[in-house]
Amino acid sequence: MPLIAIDRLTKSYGSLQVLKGVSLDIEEGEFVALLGPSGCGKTTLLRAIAGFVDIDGGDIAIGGRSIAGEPPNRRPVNMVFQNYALFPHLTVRDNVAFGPRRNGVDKAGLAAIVDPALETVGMTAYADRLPAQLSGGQQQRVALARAIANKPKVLLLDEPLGALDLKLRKRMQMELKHLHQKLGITFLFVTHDQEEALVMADRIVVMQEGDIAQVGTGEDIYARPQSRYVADFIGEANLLPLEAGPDGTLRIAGEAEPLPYRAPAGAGAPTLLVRPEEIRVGAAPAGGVSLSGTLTDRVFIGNATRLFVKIANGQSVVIQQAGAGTEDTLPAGAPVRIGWAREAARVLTG
Amino acid sequence: MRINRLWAAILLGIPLIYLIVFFVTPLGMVVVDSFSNEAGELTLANYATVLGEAYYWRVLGYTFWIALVTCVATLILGYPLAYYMSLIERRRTMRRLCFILILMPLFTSNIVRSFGWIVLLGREGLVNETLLLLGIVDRPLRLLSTEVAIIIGMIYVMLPFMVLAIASVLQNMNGSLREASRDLGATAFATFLKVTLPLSAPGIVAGTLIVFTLSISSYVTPRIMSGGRSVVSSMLIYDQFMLVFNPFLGSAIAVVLLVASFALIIAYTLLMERRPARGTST
Amino acid sequence: MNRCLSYLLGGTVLAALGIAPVSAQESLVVAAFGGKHGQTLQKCVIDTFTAKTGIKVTVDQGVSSVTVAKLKQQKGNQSLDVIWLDGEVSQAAESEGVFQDIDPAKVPNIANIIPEAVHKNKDGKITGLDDYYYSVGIVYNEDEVKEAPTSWFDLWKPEYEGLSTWPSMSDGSGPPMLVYVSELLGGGIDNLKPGVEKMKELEVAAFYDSGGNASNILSRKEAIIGVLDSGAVWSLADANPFKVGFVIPKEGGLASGTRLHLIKPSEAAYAFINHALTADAQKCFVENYFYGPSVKDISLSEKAKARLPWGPNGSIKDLRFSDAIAINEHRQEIVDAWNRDVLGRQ
Repeated sequence: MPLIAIDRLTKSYGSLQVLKGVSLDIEEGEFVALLGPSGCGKTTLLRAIAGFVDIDGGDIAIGGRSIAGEPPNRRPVNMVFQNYALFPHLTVRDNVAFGPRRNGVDKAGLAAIVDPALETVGMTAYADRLPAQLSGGQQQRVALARAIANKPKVLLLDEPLGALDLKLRKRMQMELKHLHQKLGITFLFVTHDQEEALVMADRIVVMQEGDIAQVGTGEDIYARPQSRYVADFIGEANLLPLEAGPDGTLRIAGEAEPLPYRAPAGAGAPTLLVRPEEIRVGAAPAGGVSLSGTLTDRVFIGNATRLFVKIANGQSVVIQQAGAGTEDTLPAGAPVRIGWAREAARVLTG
Repeated sequence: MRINRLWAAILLGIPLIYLIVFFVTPLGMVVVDSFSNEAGELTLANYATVLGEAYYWRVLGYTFWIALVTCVATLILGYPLAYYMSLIERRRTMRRLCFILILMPLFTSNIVRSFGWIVLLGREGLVNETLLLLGIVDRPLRLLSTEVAIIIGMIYVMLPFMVLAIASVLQNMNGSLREASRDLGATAFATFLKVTLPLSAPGIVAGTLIVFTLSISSYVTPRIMSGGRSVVSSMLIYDQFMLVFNPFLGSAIAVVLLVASFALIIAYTLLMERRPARGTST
Repeated sequence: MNRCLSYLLGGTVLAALGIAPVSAQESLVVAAFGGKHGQTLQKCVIDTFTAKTGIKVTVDQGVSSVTVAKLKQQKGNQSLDVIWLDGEVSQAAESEGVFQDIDPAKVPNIANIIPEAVHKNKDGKITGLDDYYYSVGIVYNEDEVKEAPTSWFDLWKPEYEGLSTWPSMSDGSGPPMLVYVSELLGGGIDNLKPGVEKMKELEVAAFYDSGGNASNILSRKEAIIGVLDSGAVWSLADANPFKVGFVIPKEGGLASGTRLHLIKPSEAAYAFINHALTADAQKCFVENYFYGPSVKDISLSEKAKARLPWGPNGSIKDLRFSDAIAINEHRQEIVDAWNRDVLGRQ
């Protein structure tokens, strides 16, 4: 039985439907990311689980018990808020003790909860400070300690790292991952940053306009996206519109050569997905796909070099080569041949 | 934008001159008068009268009592109103309507207002007629020209200040703090006690200070509502200036009132500041 | 004090803007009262004077104390020719030396007025002439007060507890009434204690600050009985909010009058004063404003007669005038006694 069972959840604000019957199961101990652009419904879903959004229909169960009608304070979940929402009038210690106190933990019990929680996030030395006296990263840790002090079944995290700078964010990503392993609590976190989701989550739920677009591990979703939307959202993608011939053969629009792919069953117009790092300059290996084009730009980005090639239909294809890109020495404007192995590309119809 | 010194001087100078002309100068004149007599000599006699006679202390005490009751009552009535307007009502038009309604008392003139009170609280007013009709009383209650009437009148005038002071703090309060509290297991009531209320303390302090000081110095409302039957300090001052033509004693009463109010306000702010903001949650 | 100062300044400005007479013979500047009182003077005295003589009269409306302040300010170069003053103010201003002696030969109508109306200084010269009288008495609501009161002390009857109204110190009749009650009880202006003790026992609906304030309290039925001057009473009666009763108590009403003074003697000024004391002018005024006339033997309508300050059959002898000079001198004690002892009871 899944720990969290979300069943056909719907929610509208006026005429705007923000959750269109979302169903999702989450197993105990999982680290799940809700990923999507703003307005996709991911935060609403999280807040519905926390109890801050009254749902219109469907059900949320935790541990087999429906919590749909329960007020937030009676749900076995705790949340780390986007801007931490630390109580400015309380010290770090009292912030962390806030939950246990509300749940009737006595004085002796408090120390046994608060101290380890602060230790877990490395904030023991700051116990008597007020939130305003802490840096953003420190506040983030206190918010975590506060949320785990209640020993929730599920920890909900709403863009928990959004307010931190890049370096700190990368470090906190790993710390969160380790914390998850250490605590064994189920983590459900909301992010619009696909890299963050890939780094931390066991499973990623990609959301699109109030619905789930795809659920899977990071590798799964990156390598086998089921729609253009997912492919485009996770990682970088060259999406090339395809034309289907009467015999079922597929061609890139503007190219004469048929591709070695078949259109899968499904109504949508087919699109070819090729990740930039899968394309190389020169002819494709046997059975692969080769195209001619013009090199328009070459950009060195440190660990890689990106080439922009305009192909016959006028579309720009991005190629990423590791390192300084020594495979070729072509100047911009030069005609170039590019190609990829047959299994490096996927035909999408969604 | 850079402001050069001349402009800075002008921009600061205008309010400064205003304050000097319309605040410091009259205040200075009042202080000088309070130490003078009719012959123009310096004297402490006025203060000997004001500080030496139990009567003036009684009036001062009564003035503060009225102000205190007004303060507490507007806080009790005003907080829920402010809470509703800033945290519960989400529709913008309704909020605006609330604000207009709350501010309404400030737009009515004293004359209209006192007439309204008679219609409402008079012997044959709405309240008494209703009570009689319902058989709750068998003869009209005396509501006007009483201490209760003074308090009712003061609450009416002062409520907007309290509501606005508290609402401005509540509106700027981060809403996720209350969610965090609920999330951590606090009931709605505990959230109010442990989060909303302590965080709205600045609004409460501001509101009570404004209401208290305005109440201490108010003249028209106590005068109208008491029907000339009670005396607060402002009336003594007025009578000395306008009826007896003894501005010297009047000034001394005014200075004593001012000093006493300042002392109370300073004591209050110190008390509120010293209350440790940390480590009090239990 | 500041207020006095601003009145003085205001008065000076008004005077400076003034209204300097083109020719004393063709026009007059007269200081008179405002409100309905002033309107009635305009209609019955001023307009009829101009119609008869062709002399233009410019009216400078104002409160008596302001008029006096103006006179003091313009000593030696007066802009006013003739003034009306409240009796109390006139009494207090007498010593200022701003009133000119009135030659009785130039005011033949002096023969027709009651002797009490003629005010002389210590040298025996006439300095003021009363034209009308009014009295503070007891006003009551005839719908609710079954038995007409006869004495000031009827207000203390238990049935009027919380239902009476009485002038506060802000109203002109407040101080003299406190002194008067003290006198009736064996005290006086030097011994206010009896009056203060008595006033402490009076359970009023409200103390009023002005005649208008009192009218409001009475017409809203907050009070059904009260102490009020006849002028305000009859204005109230004509608004007819209830059946208005008015009596001058048997102890005597507390009266006051309005007085004419000559400031700049001229033929026209004398003619004006003489005109104000004609039976026609006074009859017109009394029929419209219900004060008591100083001209003897005017035949009045029943309504006006019933409203005379001394009652339909009385005379000025039934009225009692307060000593304005003494009250001014004792103002501090009177107001303090009121605030401290009468109101300080709670």
